[in-house]
Amino acid sequence: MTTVDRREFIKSAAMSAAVAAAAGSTRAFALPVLTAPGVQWNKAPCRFCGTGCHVLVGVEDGRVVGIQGDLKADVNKGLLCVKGYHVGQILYGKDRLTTPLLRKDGRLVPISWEEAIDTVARRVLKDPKGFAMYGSGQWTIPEGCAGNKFMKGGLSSNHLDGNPRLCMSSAVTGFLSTYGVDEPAGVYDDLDQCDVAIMWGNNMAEMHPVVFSRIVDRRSRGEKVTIIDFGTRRTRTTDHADEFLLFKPNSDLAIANGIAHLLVQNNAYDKDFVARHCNFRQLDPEKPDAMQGKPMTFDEYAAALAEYTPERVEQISGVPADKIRLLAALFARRDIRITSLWCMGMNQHTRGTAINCLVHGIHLLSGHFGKPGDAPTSLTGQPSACGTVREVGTLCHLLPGGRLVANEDHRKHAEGFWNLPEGRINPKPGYHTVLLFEKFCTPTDKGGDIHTLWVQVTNPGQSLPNLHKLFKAKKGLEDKFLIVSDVYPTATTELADLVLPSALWVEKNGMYGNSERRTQQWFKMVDPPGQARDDCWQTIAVARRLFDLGFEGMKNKDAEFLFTFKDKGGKPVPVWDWNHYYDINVDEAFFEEYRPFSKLKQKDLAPYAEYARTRGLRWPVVQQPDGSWRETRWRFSEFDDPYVKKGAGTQFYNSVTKDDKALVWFRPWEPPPEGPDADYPYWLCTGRVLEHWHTGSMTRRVPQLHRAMPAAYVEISSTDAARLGVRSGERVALVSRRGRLELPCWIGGRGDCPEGTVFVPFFDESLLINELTLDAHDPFSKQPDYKKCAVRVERVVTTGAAR
Amino acid sequence: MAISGLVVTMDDAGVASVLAALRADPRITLGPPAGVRQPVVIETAGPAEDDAVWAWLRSIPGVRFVDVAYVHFDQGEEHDHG
Amino acid sequence: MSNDADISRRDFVRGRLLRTVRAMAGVPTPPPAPQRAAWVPLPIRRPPGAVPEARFLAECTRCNACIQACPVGAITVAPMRFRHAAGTPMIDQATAACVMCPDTPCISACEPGVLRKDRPLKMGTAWVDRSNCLAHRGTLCTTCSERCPVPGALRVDGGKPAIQDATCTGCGVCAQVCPAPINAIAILPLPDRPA
Ligand code: SF4
Repeated sequence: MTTVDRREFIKSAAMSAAVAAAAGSTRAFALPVLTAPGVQWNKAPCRFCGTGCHVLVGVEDGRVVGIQGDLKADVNKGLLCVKGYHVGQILYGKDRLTTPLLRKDGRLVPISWEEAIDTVARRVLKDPKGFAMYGSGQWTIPEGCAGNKFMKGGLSSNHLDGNPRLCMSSAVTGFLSTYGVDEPAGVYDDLDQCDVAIMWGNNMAEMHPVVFSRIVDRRSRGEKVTIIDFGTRRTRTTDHADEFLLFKPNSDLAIANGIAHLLVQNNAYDKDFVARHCNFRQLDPEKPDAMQGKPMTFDEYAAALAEYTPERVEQISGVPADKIRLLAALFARRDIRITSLWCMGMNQHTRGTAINCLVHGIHLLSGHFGKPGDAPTSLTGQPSACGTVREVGTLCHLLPGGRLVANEDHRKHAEGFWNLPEGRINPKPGYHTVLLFEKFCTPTDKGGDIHTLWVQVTNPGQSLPNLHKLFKAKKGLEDKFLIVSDVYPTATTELADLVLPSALWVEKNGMYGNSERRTQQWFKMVDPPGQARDDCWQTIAVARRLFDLGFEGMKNKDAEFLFTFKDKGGKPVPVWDWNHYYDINVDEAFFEEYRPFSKLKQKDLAPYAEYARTRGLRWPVVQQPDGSWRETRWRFSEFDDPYVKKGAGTQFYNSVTKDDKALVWFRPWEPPPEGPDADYPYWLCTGRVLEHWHTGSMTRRVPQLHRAMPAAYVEISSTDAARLGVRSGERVALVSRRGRLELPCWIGGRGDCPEGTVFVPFFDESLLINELTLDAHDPFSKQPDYKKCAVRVERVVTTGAAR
Repeated sequence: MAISGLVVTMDDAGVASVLAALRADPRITLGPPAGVRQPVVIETAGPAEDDAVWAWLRSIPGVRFVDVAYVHFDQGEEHDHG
Repeated sequence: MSNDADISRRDFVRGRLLRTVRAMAGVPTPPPAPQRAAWVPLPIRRPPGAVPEARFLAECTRCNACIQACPVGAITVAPMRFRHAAGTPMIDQATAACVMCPDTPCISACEPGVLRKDRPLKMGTAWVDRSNCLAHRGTLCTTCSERCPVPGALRVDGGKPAIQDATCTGCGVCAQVCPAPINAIAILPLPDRPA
């Protein structure tokens, strides 16, 4: 480039940045980025959380050299959180896995890819019924499609579950029980328009910082928005809240019922909305395990709520009766817009389905639904918990498009779309996560009938609850075989028998689906290191090896290989051969195969090319007469959702009761399965921190993030600390019925626990708090409760000199 | 060489006079305005001059904010602090 | 809401430290088109409790006792580029921070007495570069204030960090933990330590 060219190039880059910034609706734009000619910038969604920000990735000489917030992205408008700004560095940690490793005589030794793939295939052949797969909300959509088809369509086995079982499944059952279909009706735009935002046990300031900024930023523009924070501890979110309501762990159901009770008792519910759009339900005492429950009349509903008077609720929850009245009064108002937000606080709950239903119920009852700013919205923790797991259906009871393995019609449909012989898909749901790991960690002769488990893109050795029982018990079980596809050594690879090195993020093509139904796409930008290869390829390669070994399940109806992809000329491409994997766009092929499923439940997806062009589109995406594709922001609302009949206003077209109505549930408050007692007098709550994502396997390798938050700690109230005689930085031991862990305490740090509660983040692999947590789970969603168990806190007496 | 992309936010009343002042300076290129927000590119010999122009922009009556969207400095013109 | 107009891109990239020192000393913005700044003495950050710089240079025996006493390895030997000060103990902001030990082992270890308990512990003053600070740029971040070891030295004001110059000791912990893509905290050395 000549000097003049270069100057012009920089000038035009400077101008486009300035123009974009000037056009932005807020004055908070991206940090300035120093760039140079020769750097290629391309879009990708951030690798981390379910917010789904878009970044621009700068690549020079085959290496990611820069990250900036994407001004063109609706989600984040150029802003990123502290993790997002560093996302490029996750590719370059020093200890990337670069070669397949097989455990021989207790040590992991390098082997060839051929041997690795063959080893996996032989484990399948040993007994296909005992071979299971554990996927992830970090799987790309095509990776999920591959895993799902391989297991359910190839091995006729439904022993495929994913880590969203641990984070999102109560939200799923909540949506299904209420609307008959999964995922929020609202979108992030609600946050730009609501008058009140209620955080139900949700520390959004740390977990979904960019969406939270979107609310807080409105205040800096002079708009008024009231933030109400419901929580069991003070967090960074509380700093921004107008009202903080501290409640006793597990009492959220009583609060929700208290609000509903007042709405009914004061005749303050939205009668018109309820009459037109709602039916009422409760669990059937004769079949308490049936998620469908049984109908109840409005009067029965009102009677069931009657005991939840503000005073009674205060007794259970510790929230003053007046505050309950205040909330009910807010919901009673028709002139304001209210958005409820929640994530793990409501989902990781032994009554997760119930509390999800109750919050939807309050919104329906009060008519705070379906208008911009009026929405009950759950957030996801992982970048594609929605896209890959909830939509593609990579859970043990699901088929793509929100359908069920137990339903014959649904199976037939899937067999049709996948071109499988009839009856290939197994009607029996597989093991859900907790059960799957229990079966894997139980000796074969004691009923542990899972002999091999293939884990992709997640780290259960750190993230499962009750780790001693559900993971570490695998140690010493000679006939059990753990396969782990990952990018770094983790707590999971520690027990792995076979480690497969994977490509990460922009080292491969990918698609994600974020919390607001937004499907996103990116292209491969750099090569993976060493011999690391795409997870999707790994699945296909194993399938092909099985096909070559004559395994019937790997053939479709026409006796072709299950994953037959053709080039433009109609010639099959041998994508199982790594040298040919990128000859065609395998992502596009998988996505187009999966698209027809999306229409079955009005979750229509656009063609792949539309996603390549945009910063994501929110489904249903419906083609217009002029050929263009239009996304939907407010589902079930006539003014925006093309599936709603003209004149209906609101229509729940996936309704459980088939009458276009949603279900308002009554669910009673009940005491928790484990609570503080004389031996274990504290509540233990676990969670994340702003700087680290999930188990920290990526973010802890970013020096800036590691320095900012180097190690786990226990947050404890100053009163409890004084009683124990410990100061900030001193070590204490936490002891539960399941495990013991020593760690430093932090008093008055980032968050603040009330007396009798402690909080520990789970990102630190050297301090595994999940050795202490409880594996008790919600009966419907099977999601464990990581937020509540009982522990004892002991002072650690150090011997010898402090220094 | 220093090139920076800035957004100049003006008072409603000051738009005409501010724009006139900006146009008069050959080092400044104006982009398409968005209401009272004017994107500009400044091209100068080095960071110090870039600073001076930036300071001058802020001092023009009618300018409310000057925000940075983009910065590019050439290497080797600054004092080394080690 | 903070006044973003104060966000100063002048302090933005390389050379920000120098220019900031100049600005703090009240030196007016230079006229258009100067090319190169004149040479100024390189600022050096001493361990806590240091005597005035001239005396420090004269009396420090370069015995390294403070360096050995520091439990976190924050004190190093000034390299050659510090010219006349090479070989004396310093805290390099780029790589380390003083953690403000309550019992100041470095001072106890100093035999010639150029680090003294009766001197202020102040080593400098932290300064937040608003154009790079995440909190000032619309992203939620409170890391520096949480980790600051000196009570009251770093306040969070409307979600944004604000240094209290009088209380801040310039220990540098905030600069060490700042997770911004371009570190947003500079530790300004004391122009001169009072006698
Ligand atoms: S981690 Fe989440 S909030 Fe942060 S930049 Fe990535 S997607 Fe956005």
